Amino acid sequence: MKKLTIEDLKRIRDEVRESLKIREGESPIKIIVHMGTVGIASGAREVLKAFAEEIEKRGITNVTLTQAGHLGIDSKCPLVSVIRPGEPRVTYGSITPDQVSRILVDHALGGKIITEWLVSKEEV
Amino acid sequence: MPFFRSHVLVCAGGACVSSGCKDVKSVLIEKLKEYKLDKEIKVVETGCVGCCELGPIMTIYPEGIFYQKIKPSDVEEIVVEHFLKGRVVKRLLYTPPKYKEAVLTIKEIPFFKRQQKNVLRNCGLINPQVIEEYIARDGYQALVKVLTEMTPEEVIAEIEASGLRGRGGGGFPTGLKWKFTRASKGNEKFVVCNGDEGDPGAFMDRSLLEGDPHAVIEGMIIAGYAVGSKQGYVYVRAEYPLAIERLSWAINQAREKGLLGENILNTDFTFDIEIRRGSGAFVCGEETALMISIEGKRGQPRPRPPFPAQKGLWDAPTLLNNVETYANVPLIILKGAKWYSQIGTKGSKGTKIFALAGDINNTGLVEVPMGTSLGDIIFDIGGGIPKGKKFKAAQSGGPSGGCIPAQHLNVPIDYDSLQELGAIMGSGGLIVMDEDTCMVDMARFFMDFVQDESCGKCPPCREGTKKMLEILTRITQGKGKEGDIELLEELAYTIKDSALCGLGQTAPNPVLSTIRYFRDEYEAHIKEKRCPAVVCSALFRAPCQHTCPLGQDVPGYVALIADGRFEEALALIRQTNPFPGILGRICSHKCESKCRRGTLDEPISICRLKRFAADIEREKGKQIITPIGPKREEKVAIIGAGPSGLACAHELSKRGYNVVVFDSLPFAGGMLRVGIPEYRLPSEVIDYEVGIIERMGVEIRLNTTIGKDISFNSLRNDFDAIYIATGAHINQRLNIPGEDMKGVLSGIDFLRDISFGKKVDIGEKVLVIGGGNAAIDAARSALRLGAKNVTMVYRRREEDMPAYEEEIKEALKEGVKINTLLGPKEIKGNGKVTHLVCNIMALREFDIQGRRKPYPTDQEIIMDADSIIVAIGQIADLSFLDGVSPMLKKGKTIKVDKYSMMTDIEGIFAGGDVTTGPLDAVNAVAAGIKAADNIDKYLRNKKGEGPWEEEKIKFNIPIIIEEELKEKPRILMPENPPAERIADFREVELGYTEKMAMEEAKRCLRCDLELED
Repeated sequence: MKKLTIEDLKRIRDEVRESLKIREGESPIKIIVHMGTVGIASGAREVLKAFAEEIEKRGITNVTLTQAGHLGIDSKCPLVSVIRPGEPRVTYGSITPDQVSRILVDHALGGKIITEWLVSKEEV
Repeated sequence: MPFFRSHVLVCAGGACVSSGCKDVKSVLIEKLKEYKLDKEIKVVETGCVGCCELGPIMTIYPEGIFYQKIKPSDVEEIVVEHFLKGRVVKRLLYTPPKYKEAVLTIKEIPFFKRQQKNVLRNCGLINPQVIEEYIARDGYQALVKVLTEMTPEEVIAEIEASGLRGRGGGGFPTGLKWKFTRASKGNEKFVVCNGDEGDPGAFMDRSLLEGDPHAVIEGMIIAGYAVGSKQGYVYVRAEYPLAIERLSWAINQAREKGLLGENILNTDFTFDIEIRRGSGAFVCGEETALMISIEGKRGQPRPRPPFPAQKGLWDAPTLLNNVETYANVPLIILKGAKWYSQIGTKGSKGTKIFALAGDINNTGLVEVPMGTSLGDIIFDIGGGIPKGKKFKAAQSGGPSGGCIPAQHLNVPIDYDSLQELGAIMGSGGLIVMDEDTCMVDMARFFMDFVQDESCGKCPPCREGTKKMLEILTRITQGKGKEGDIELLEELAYTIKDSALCGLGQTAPNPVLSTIRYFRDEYEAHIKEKRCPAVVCSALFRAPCQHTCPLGQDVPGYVALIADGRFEEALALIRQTNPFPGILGRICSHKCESKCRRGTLDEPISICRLKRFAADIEREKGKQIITPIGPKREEKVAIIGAGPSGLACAHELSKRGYNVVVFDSLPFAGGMLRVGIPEYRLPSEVIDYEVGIIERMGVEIRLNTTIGKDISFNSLRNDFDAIYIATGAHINQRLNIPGEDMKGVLSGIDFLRDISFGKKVDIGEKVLVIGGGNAAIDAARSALRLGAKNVTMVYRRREEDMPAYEEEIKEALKEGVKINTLLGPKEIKGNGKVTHLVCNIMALREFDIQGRRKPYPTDQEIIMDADSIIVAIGQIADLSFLDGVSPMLKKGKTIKVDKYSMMTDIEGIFAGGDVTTGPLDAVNAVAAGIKAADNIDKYLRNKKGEGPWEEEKIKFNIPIIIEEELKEKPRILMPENPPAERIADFREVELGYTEKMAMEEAKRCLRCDLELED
């Protein structure tokens, strides 16, 4: 087994630290995929998986991906909400896996609301 | 790095392993795979999270959702509902003590909120067997800093500047110890870590070794660098197999990665660590014995000097520190001594880990800054005492420490503050004890432990502790002698002075400490052969009987009721209790709190069974005759026809004396009659039992006030002895402005007026100030007089109210409202009361009874009222003694000798509320009977006669025991429905029927029975 140098220690720290951040709790920026029977039936799990893949691909560590229950708007499932600190809580409807990267990059990270997909906007 | 959207942290600390976390984890992994979630959800096994009471637990990140008491059969539901569908499994959430609803995340749990997890920062958050996770959280960065930027002297200076003191209990300044070790001459030096942790109830070091072993390893390597050593040893007791396993694994990983061994991190520093297992001898936690044990010899201490820093392992200079001490080192190096020294108190810096165990809601691991008060740890973090029991004491420092009682809950915990109280902080084991702990038995337990663990080398410890144990054991067996306490103290001080090592020197501490704060318990065991906590079973037949101030043969009469022999049951009761009908309704029944059945389901309804037996006879109209002994000449005067005076009269009359009882009121019964409302105690019950006493020949002169109608001194002339039992009938004042306004009523006067049949006009909105039984009585009576809105105003919390729990429950059922944490400030009105102004109270530090003291904040509440009833307490009227003798009074009570009950004037006795302040009726009755016995002894002594001998009838008590013990709560007492019964003063409880009584009585476990050999 290779013995570590001081540089190795720093490198391991920086690499692994990001993956442990999730245990420190939620980030201020949250993406919520709404589940529930209707949600799952219309593909919420695939949307969730797609977000996870995008986050891994891009190496993003300051966004929390989480699930929540059904929001009540059956016809627009799967629903995805985005929360950014100090901004209104935005919910998008009828989301498919290929829309995931725009929501992640443009809104969650970039702060730009995607009006075409908007279902509701709630002042927090 | 692969992204997992969720990390599930499964605690695998020792306690959780015992509760089955391994099975939970394996089912979790299986199910996650089955539902194809294993690439999304990461399962992490961590060290001890701290809340050991709740395991197995799971903390699910990023949300921090916390599930507790998980069984393998729960796991599939968690996987399907939570991970797949995003729905929280509500039934597995945690509801903290006294909370109405469960909390969702670990952050919200009060147990964790007030802690400061510095040394424990990784414990419960990382997998201790994955070194990369330790490294990710700045692991081994302190070592990098030390090896590349600091000289050994600089490292030592930083540790010194931090103020770190040895966490094993001794509290020696760590930096100084390192300095001495470095300065010692020698080619070879050693670094030893003391992980023996022998204190019963301590598990801080175990949790650190299991949960974050790398922190200890890193600390030791830095220590090695600082003092100039190449070899370290960790001495762990063999009883910690999990700790040894995790530590071993961690050491191997560190070695593989080049963090241990030669040329660490490519520098020229070499250091390695070996584990040595202790074989479970407490004495091997003592540093000199520990080192001798590592050398392979029998663990026995040796005199110091020389100290290990000069001559230790194999006579080489050795640095010996505790596990937790080493775990503090990387933090100090990384964040700096300045940061570290800002935490804690002047003499004790940093945080300390405590292991909370015993009678506490939140058992487990707690880390707080030095200087946190004991009360905050026990109540705010520990969640208080389970089952509503009262806090009695906390043992700090294990067998070397002392107990800290309720009056010192405010003490800040650090090395120096506890010493003044006769305790030590020790290694951090805090054992919490409630009212059901016998302090003598506790001292005996620790002495037994020490005797077992004594190495035997020096006579003071070997012989001295043996003698102390003998004496303590005798006392707990009812064979204590006068002089035992003094002998224990003498032995204790001698052993402390002359024992060879810390084990012997500190062994007497628990005994000295319990004698200091609980001497009365020792005295009760020795002088009265009584164990107040009802633990030392050699002193009693049954806990209920032992707790009863009258010593009622509870198992006996309950068994007779079970057998349908009600008349005999009552006769047995009446042998020690002249008021079964009265006490069967209003007694505080502390016997029920000690009833062993209560540990299974619910205590036997001892009190109401007594009522049942009494009512059966009374309803038959039977005239009970009490046999009277041979008639005597002497005349005894009793002032006060309350429970105490009447009980005394009954007993004296039984022994043949001529008794006259005087009372100012137009009827007998005292506070029973004019203080307790009819709906709790109907006057015909009192009249019936007073009638029995009158038929014995006792003369009760009502409407006669001593000091007014008859002078006290004339009583002294006409009678051979006097018993003063005038009680406490003056209402305590609030002393706030407006108190004398019209519409403000004295609680005592209000209740008395009702008993006289007066129609008191209180209006519609009534406020009752107070939290005791009298206040509840006033509130419920006000409802019955037609008030539409009755609200109680109390300055503490509902759980602090001294009123009986059952009374509070009934009051709430009837519609009384209780507003808590309000302190009356001013009464406002225009000639007649209109409003009460109160300050909202905030609870701060503890008072000497162990309750948090309420302080007024500057927030006010104004409540409108038609009447305000003040019921905050009663004091005695001693004006009738004016001009008799100042020696008689002690403040607001009459002074008497504890055992003889005689005042400073010969022949004049006193008892009941007039000597103690307001207490329960049963205490007054017990005092009356004891006074009669004392008066009898006194008068017989005068004539040179022997003591009274009574032929008590023996009853044949049947043995009726359930073949199969099943859980079965007590039979519910039928009562008049709340909405109807408040129309008048009809009795609330209807009493048991014969069938109910016999069924309830059959639940008794007969603790009095013993197996015959």
